[in-house]
Amino acid sequence: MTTWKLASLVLFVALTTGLAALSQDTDSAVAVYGFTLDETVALRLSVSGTGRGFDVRDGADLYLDLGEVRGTTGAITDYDLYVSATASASSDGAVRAMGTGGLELRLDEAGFSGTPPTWTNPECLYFEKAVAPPERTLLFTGGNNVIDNTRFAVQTQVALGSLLGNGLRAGDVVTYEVVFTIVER
Amino acid sequence: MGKNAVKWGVLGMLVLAMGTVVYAADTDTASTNPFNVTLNETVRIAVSTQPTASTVVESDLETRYFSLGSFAAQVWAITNYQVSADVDFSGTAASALLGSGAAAVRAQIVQATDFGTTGDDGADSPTSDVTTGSPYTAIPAVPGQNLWHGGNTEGGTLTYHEGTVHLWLDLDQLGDQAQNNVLTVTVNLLVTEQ
Repeated sequence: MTTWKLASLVLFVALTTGLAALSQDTDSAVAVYGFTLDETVALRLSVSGTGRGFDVRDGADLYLDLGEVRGTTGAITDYDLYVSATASASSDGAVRAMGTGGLELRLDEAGFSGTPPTWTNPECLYFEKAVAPPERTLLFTGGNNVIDNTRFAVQTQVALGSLLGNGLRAGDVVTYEVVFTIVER
Repeated sequence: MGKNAVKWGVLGMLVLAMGTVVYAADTDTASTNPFNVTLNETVRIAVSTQPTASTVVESDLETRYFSLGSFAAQVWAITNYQVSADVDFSGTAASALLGSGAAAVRAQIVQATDFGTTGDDGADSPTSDVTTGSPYTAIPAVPGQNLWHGGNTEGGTLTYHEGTVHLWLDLDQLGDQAQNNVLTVTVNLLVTEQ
């Protein structure tokens, strides 16, 4: 008899609980967001050491320090960062191409901050001759870094010996253009 | 016993009889059948402002959280209620979000209520269940994250509670993407009677 009472009580409680759950009303609605990834990689540069003059006394050195280029990459993808360079000389209003103009580049490994790259080109950790487009040198690779963008630094110098034979005269202006290209991989 | 005494006795009985007639005024009653009202529904929710499509451009890659914009939803209730949400992802950019990546969407309520036009005294103002600053409240895939809760909106067709929710997307959790990938984020809202 006691067993029956206990079973009935359990059944009653179970039914009551079930009915209470069923009586809880709900309603639903949906909001839909859509967006397109127009861009997956971004690059921003700042340059120091521009516009310096060349004095004959600089000729005592083999290299002319042009300063440093600082850049920032932002990416939501794996990417490669390349560099290339061109040089031109203007003399009496005439501009002529000079290839890379003896420009050399070095990736400053200590200059990295933010999200570190996934790989750096060991050959770029020392001054190497720049290449002219369409060739380009791979500096480093990276990945999604929106938490803290990757900041890097590239040092530049000119091998003065490479300028021989270019017909440069006093007053000429040599312009170097360093092109960084970030490519989604 | 004299004649007068008999007369007064008869008169008294007559008065009592008339009094009895007054108290015996007839009445009748009738009742309707009971009005049975079944509350099949106690809560209702509808999206009042849908988000608009957007694009990720270069400047967006310099910050971790991308603004998805806002949606607004209205709740009608004759009970205490709770609004919760979960998210689904689809589109070519969605593969990186499957699984644990579902927590990529974070919510911030920037406006919690609108009392409509019926002069609600504000006693039943809804209450936000998400943080309004960093760190934001993550909306998972399952179970739903509570967004806000409230009490009886006092009925009628114009009195409702409206919650506006601003959503941000954690671009870090998008992983390795390709240009022109498309991501669709569907926010499923659920209001539950409490």
